[in-house]
Amino acid sequence: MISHEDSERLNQAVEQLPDKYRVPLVLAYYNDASYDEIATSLSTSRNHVGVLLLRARQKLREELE
Amino acid sequence: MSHLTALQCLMLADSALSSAEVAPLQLHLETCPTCADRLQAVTNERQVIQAVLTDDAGVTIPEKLPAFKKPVGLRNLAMANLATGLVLWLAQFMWKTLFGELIVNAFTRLTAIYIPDTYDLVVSTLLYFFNEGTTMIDNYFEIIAAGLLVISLAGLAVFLGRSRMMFVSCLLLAITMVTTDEASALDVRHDQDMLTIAAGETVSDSLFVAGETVVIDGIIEGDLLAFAQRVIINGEVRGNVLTAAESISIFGQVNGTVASAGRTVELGDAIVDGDFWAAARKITIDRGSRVTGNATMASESINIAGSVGRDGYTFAETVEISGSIAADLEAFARQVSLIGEARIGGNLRLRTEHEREDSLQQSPAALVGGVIEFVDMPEELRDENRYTTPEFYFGQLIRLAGAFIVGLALLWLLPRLRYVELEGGTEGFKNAGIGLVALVSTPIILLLVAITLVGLPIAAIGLFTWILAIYLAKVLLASVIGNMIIDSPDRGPALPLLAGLVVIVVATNIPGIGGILNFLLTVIGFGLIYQVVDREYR
Repeated sequence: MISHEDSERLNQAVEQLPDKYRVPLVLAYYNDASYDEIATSLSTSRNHVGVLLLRARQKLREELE
Repeated sequence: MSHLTALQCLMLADSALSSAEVAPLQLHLETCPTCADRLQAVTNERQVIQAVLTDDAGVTIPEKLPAFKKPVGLRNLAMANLATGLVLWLAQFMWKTLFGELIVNAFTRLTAIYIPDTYDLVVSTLLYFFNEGTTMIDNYFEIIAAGLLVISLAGLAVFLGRSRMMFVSCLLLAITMVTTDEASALDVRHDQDMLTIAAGETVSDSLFVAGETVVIDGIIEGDLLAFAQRVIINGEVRGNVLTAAESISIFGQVNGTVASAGRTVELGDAIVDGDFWAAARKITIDRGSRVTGNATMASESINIAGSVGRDGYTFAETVEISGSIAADLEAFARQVSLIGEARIGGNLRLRTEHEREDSLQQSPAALVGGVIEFVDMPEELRDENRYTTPEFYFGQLIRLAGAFIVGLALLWLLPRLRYVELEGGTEGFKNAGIGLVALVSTPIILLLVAITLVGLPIAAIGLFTWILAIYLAKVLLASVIGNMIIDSPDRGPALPLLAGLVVIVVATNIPGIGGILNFLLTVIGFGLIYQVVDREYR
């Protein structure tokens, strides 16, 4: 799991994420957009937004390992 | 209900589920501390990410949002197929560029579907390698062998915990062993036209020969490997004979086993002290010829006028026996004729799909020492439309059920696999290419391992792993396809897996193109395995 101690590295890792993962992550956790709003913005489904966020988090964890 | 999936956990933590979707999950959470802990961890993680993003003013979103369209139906599968097809085409194109007319010629011949012509192909390929490519192939194999040796020794050194000096010594030894041009125990000869080992000549090593016509009048003390349009052996081969030719005639003596494939294979007044293996349109063992071991033959027409010292196995339309078989004869044939004073010392087991009384003709003087037994042809050898039999559908159901159980086990053991998706674009091409290379190169590497370095046990384990990977590749692909078809956040893995498996089983059984689809799907599946392994490794 990601912890506060990693905040600086986490920030770098977020910036390095591919747009595919970074954009939904930022929309969800920075802009507080709902899954449905993100799905509409990205022309995709709510569940796919979930999968993208899941992957984004996995990648962040891998980067911080 | 079962534990929450990672996706359910995330969507619940992010308040992205409807109340109807949340209710059953809440019920489960009340009774499952494991899932409750996981949910708490995911929620905490969200807070950490939010804190970091909020603190940082430099968070950017592109002005123009990239297209994120979720694959519509099986679009990605189609794209992956296209990518795989293109990779195959590129590989073929490169191969053609490398070997020019030889391969063009080869494909023309292969598409003629005239099996004996493939012997021409084998001959011209071998001649090409001898004339043009021997050095290149030698170097290539040396590099592979050196690579394998170095890898093996490195692994051994690490495993044994030896010192660096020891490892370096092993490495140097490996390189020296591979690059030293040792005297070959194989005598290689080739000729565009006729190649003869004259009557007085003795070849003390094994002999590898290729040419239009190969005639062996002398003595070969080792094995004989002959590839030509016509192979004639009048002399003596003290080892084994391995030959592929349009026409193969053996009039001399072979002390070992004969394995031959051609349009016609003839033993004329020949002595074969080992076993005799032959596949040809017509196989003849003439009167005066003797096979001391077993004789296994596949052909349209087999004529045995000589003698076979042990068992006979024949796969043919018609089998005519006027000579003798000392032990049993097992015949897969439309018709077996025992002519004149034919002798079969043991049992005659005849496997046929035709009427029994028409299948065996026996002259009054012919003798079968044991019993004559008629056995129905095995199901897979019967000449009938498999789609019309209930067994086919039952078999496919069993196959589906087996793959389903394996798939569920796989997804249970490795839950991350549920969220694997087919990549498009460059990644798709890369994965398809790597999948193809892995699928094709593995058996070649295993063969090299088997004959060069570590030996058969490692190769056998590798072969088993390769076959398992072919199976699992399609199971994994089925899960991915299923996820494309069925899209629901609270789904378990079972329904998508089943849907994907149905698609794959149907696709691979389409008459005509099922085989090609099977290959393409396997390549894509191999690419997916690479994708997963690569992601995990990183």
